Amino acid sequence: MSIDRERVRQQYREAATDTTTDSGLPLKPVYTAEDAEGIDLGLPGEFPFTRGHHSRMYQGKLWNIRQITGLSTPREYNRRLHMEIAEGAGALTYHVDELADYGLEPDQPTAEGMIGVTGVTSNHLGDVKAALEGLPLDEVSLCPACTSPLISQAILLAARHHGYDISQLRLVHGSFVMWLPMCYRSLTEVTFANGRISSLGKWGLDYCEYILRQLPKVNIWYFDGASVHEGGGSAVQEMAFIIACRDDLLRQMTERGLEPALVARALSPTVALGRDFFENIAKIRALRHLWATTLSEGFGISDPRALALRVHGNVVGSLCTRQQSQVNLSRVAIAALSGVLAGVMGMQLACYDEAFATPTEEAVRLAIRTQQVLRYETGTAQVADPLGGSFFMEHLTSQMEEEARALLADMEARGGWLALLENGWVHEVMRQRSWEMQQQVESGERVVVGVNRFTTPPEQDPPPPIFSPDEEEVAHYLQEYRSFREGRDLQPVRAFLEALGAAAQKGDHLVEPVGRAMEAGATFAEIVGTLRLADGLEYDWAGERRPPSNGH
Amino acid sequence: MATETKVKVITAKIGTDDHYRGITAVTQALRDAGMEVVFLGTGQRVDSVIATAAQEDAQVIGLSFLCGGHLPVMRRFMNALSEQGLGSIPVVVGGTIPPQDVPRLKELGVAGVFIPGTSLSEITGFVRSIARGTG
Repeated sequence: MSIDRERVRQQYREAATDTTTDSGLPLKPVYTAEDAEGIDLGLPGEFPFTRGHHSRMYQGKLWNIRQITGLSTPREYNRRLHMEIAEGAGALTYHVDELADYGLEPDQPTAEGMIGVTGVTSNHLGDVKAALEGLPLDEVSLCPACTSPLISQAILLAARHHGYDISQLRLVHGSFVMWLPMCYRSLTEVTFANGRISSLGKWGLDYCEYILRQLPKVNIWYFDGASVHEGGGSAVQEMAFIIACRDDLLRQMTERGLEPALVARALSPTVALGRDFFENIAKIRALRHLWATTLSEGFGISDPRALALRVHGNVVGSLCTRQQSQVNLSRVAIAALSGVLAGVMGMQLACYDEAFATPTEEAVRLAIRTQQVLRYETGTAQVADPLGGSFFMEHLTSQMEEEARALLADMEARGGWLALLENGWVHEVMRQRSWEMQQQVESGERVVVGVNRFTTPPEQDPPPPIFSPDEEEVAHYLQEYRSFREGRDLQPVRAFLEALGAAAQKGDHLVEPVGRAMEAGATFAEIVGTLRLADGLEYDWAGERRPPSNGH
Repeated sequence: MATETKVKVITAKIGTDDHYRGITAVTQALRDAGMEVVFLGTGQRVDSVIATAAQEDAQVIGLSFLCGGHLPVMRRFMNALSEQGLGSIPVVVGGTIPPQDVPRLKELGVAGVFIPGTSLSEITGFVRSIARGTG
């Protein structure tokens, strides 16, 4: 083996050349007291909350280990949830496949190959009951992820059926109504139709109002910062979008007569934990400050429970590469550490096989173990805001807040969040940045280990074991589902769906009529279809089905 | 040197999967490489993509998948394409395709499958090389 002397020399002498953060903010070689002058830090648990939402932080309560989960059939998914709890998770997600997201029946042509692939298939109330069998819903925190309130509302009905007092549930409602068109351009009707809020969107807002009035223990995950990141947006854009979206949701709810503080108290966004370690931390610290000060300045809120922002950190899937996939375990652990140092109140870690398919059980276990190593072995989970007072960290925190405030003002001048969501501006700024980043990966300016440097030939880089839903299990599910649908009494289903459609057309509150249709045995696709029809949209997103009154 | 002919490509996502980051980057890269690209967007149907390909006289069709469903969709797509007498238009697929499905897609007649981590220049080079009526 001959050694390339020039290459050895270059490897020895190599210096860091990337002198900007991931968002493009400039970095100096060193920071001094001058860079952090005039910063009013305060204490954790006190206004302006830069240092954390609670005075004792993790000595009061550790963050929730909440891995994103959704796969296969309700039965298989239930088994995975039991495994996660057994391995030490205290919080769960209910991630549906795209059928419930789009309102499709599992046996229509478009659904082929999609059942249980990107989430658990859930197509009527009975599926949700089966998925939650045996889980302590008043102890474990459960967060549904679905484009409409279908799953969240079905969880309440299923919990009642399982004998719970629903006011005692630890539910976090995943509300997509205020942001989904940012990333789902083919499903904007979740929020808008005919130039205004759609019936599906109104149901989403009605459901938020219902929770705020009736279930004060339930929190609302109202915005997904990770979707900004994964769509190519910068950390600064993510911050500005989190605040702009919150403000419009607050306005929507206060127009319905709710107190701003009562609303803000329930709201929590997820935040992306990406590849820039310090920027992740500065972003979350700055966001807490921005959250508290804008609520105080803009809405006159003084309730500390509303001003103290709690965030869930999402170590994003785009960190993970297909090449040399075990390296993803290191990437994810480092990003997760930034979440801990930033004081997140919950965390999900991308699994190392994320670039291939839905994670295997082994990959999920490794992600949970990584969180446990952080919790118990590293000494990083005891002291609140351990980087507080660092010249660099304080400088970066205030710089990011300044940038985000400028962008917020610009967005406000352009008409505010909902207007920019509807006209595609939000989507377009993310797409532009994603293109710039891809160019940097192509040119090698943005190093991705194993992708554009330190590569290995594909034949020496075998893929890990890969998950795919058990086809027999799926076939069995379909059989059961069909016999449920064919065996139901169609007369009340039709009657309650008609009542739902009429309520939507009149602009009535939609939570109760949806609940009655669900309990009567309406499928989720029929409920979504009924609300689509009320806006003059095609009943079926894929154009393959007709309403049940016209025969299946 | 051959005379420059502008290669015409149709790109789209079929079905419910809205993860557009990859397909928009590929669309942009093909344009920057001098090709004429019609991006139909996300949420397309098999028939609408084929109708546009016929109308625009496309030389290559590029489709992207992240959320599964690529095998049945591509089976329907390739069948419909040859039924319409357009089987000679090469079809390229990209996205989060599990490795075991790559040979299955090729068996359906897909000309090339590009999985995460492929460079854009590799994709643009391939698309140019297979464009119908050039080469």
